[in-house]
Amino acid sequence: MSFLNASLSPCADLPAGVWRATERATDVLQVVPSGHAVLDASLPGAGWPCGALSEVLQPPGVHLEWQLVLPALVRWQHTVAEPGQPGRSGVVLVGPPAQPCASGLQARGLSVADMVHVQPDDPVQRLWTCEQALQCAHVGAVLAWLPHVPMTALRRLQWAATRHGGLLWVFRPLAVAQQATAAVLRLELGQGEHPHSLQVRVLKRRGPPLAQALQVPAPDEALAAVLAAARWRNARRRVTVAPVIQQPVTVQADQAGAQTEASTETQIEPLLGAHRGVHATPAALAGVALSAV
Amino acid sequence: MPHPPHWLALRCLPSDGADTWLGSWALQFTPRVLWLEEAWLLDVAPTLRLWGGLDRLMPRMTDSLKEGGMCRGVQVALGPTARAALARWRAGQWWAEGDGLPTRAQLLTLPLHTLAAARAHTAVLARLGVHTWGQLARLPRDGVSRRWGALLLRGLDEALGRAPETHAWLSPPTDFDETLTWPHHLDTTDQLLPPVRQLLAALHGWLVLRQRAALAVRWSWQHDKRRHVAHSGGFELRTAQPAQQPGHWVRLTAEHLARQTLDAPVVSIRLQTTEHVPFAAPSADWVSAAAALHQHPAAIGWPVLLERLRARLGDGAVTHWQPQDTHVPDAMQAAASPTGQPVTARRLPAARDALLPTWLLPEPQPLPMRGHRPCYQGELELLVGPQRLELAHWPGEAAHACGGELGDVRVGGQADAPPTLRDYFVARSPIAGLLWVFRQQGAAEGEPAWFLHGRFA
Repeated sequence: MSFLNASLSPCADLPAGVWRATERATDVLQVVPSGHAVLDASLPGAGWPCGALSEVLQPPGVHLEWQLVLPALVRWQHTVAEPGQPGRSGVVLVGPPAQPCASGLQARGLSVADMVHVQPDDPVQRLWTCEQALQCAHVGAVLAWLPHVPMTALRRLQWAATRHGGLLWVFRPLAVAQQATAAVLRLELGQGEHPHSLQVRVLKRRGPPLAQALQVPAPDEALAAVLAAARWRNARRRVTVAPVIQQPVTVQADQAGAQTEASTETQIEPLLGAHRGVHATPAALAGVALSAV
Repeated sequence: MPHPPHWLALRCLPSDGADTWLGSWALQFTPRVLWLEEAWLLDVAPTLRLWGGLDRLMPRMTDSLKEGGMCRGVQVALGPTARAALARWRAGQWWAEGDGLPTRAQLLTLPLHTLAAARAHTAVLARLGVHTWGQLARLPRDGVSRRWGALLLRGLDEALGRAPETHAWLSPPTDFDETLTWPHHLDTTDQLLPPVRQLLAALHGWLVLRQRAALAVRWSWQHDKRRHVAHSGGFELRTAQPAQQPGHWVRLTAEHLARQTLDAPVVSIRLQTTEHVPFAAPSADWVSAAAALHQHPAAIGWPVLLERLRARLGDGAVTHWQPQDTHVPDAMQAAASPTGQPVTARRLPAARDALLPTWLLPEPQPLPMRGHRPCYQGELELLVGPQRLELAHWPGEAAHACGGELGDVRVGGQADAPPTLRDYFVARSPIAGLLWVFRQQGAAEGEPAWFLHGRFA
């Protein structure tokens, strides 16, 4: 016992920067809260690490990047970068899968004045662009889509990010999940169970491995409200229309519809009230989703 | 107290021609530069205090030459007069660290052939036992003047500072235009970099003297004459922020050169300024200098980053999307070339923008159908919609649209053209998530009716 105590005692007065593998690291890096409470609870330091590479893996055909990173980006622009100052408000997108919709992003709170979309041809140029962006004092965040990138290049990016101190996300296909990575954080991002939610699996973090996937609600409140309204509308329609068309199914549909209506109506009404100012909400209400027919 | 006269003689070794670029380069250290016989002479006495003395000026010049990649060939000699400096340069008494102005006694030991005025008579004088300036100075003046002419004595007096020198100073032109002919052919764009650096160093000297900063320059080169290729080539460079330091231009030029192909070896290269503006040097202060210490050592500015990216990847690869004041989805945002200058928001976000997608496809993508349902990685489930947009023309600058779920009022548009109708939906794909799709109304049989236009990512 005395031997054990003696062997443990050096660990007790280790400097603050040393992280024990059994614990979730807390004070290793400066972080930006991700804006998702569920995700923050599982990330070391409760947020996206600054000055480090965060890797996000997505299955083919899935692009849910903005839902994941937008709250943190908006927060970064509002807190770290001072408005009107040539601070770290620049956002560089390297090789995104499509055009970023400036109006849509602006409406969700992002300042797009300093957002630059760079579309290099080949993987080497993409890496070069990332490295250059990480040398710029004005850039606050770099979002890079790097499908083919060697491990050495990732390590170099991680090093560049450490020197830069901003946010760096690298989006890669899910197929590379088995490969080693230099990233501090590696997440798998997919669609959640709910039509407007995310499923995040933490593959690598400074802390013990996390077995279960996290269900993260999307931060997009306006869209969520409209979707909920449409659902509510469909449920009502099922209730009124279904009995006339097909008698045997009516009982089930009626019951299901009544339950949905009862459960959603109380939640939806205040939301609708709050978003009545939104221009397209009437569209959602007037629109009869074809799926109901 | 003003400094005593300090003259520097500069010359590139080996060299052919007058090295005009070296004269332009030297202008950044003093405005008093001239070409005398075979070297560039700089009168640095007026500016010596500005540079902090000779011991600081000389390393600065060497650094500047090193930056330009041409340190090797240039030798410097120091003297109290232009001709003395030139004579010391000819005698090989080049400046080394710690050297000061030569004393009069040192000057008197210089060989006679270093004095241009005595060159014609060196053989005769040598037979008389006169080999150095001191021996010539000790001869009786009237006899020397009668025997070899007054010019010999005048040359010696000027060199020793006993008679005033007259100079034809180099006057910088109103626009920089310099051509550099390289001793051998340059086959690749990489080989063009040394002359490029030299010309940019010369441009820097010119800009400093005229207190200008360049906004745009033009590079052009002459090819070795061959039958089936063009005889010249070139490109123009433009920068967002007026730049005086050569480093920025070197990097921009190198990136542009890397994308050029040379049809034939290059024999000469030329640099012209096409646009320049008065330069106001930023004032330095202690606070920002202290703050800069904590920054990234190689941190670059936003305009510099954008220019580097554009120079290497091309203008089309670097885009800034500006929201436009229209709700026509195809014209919702315009591509602008980012300049790095602060931009004021063109339009404020409207409430309905919150329901716009975050990714936009550049062109609507037709969707395959399964029965009556559009498919994109599985059958789509339409969640919200339709939102009908009615337009006379898709997309068009002149077309005026009226938006509205009921397609109520039409504003503008041409009366004869039938309006195009689109019903926008938020749909869910089992794999790809929420999508922004539309149905084209009135699509003919066989034409695609459903299109994917954006994603809610």
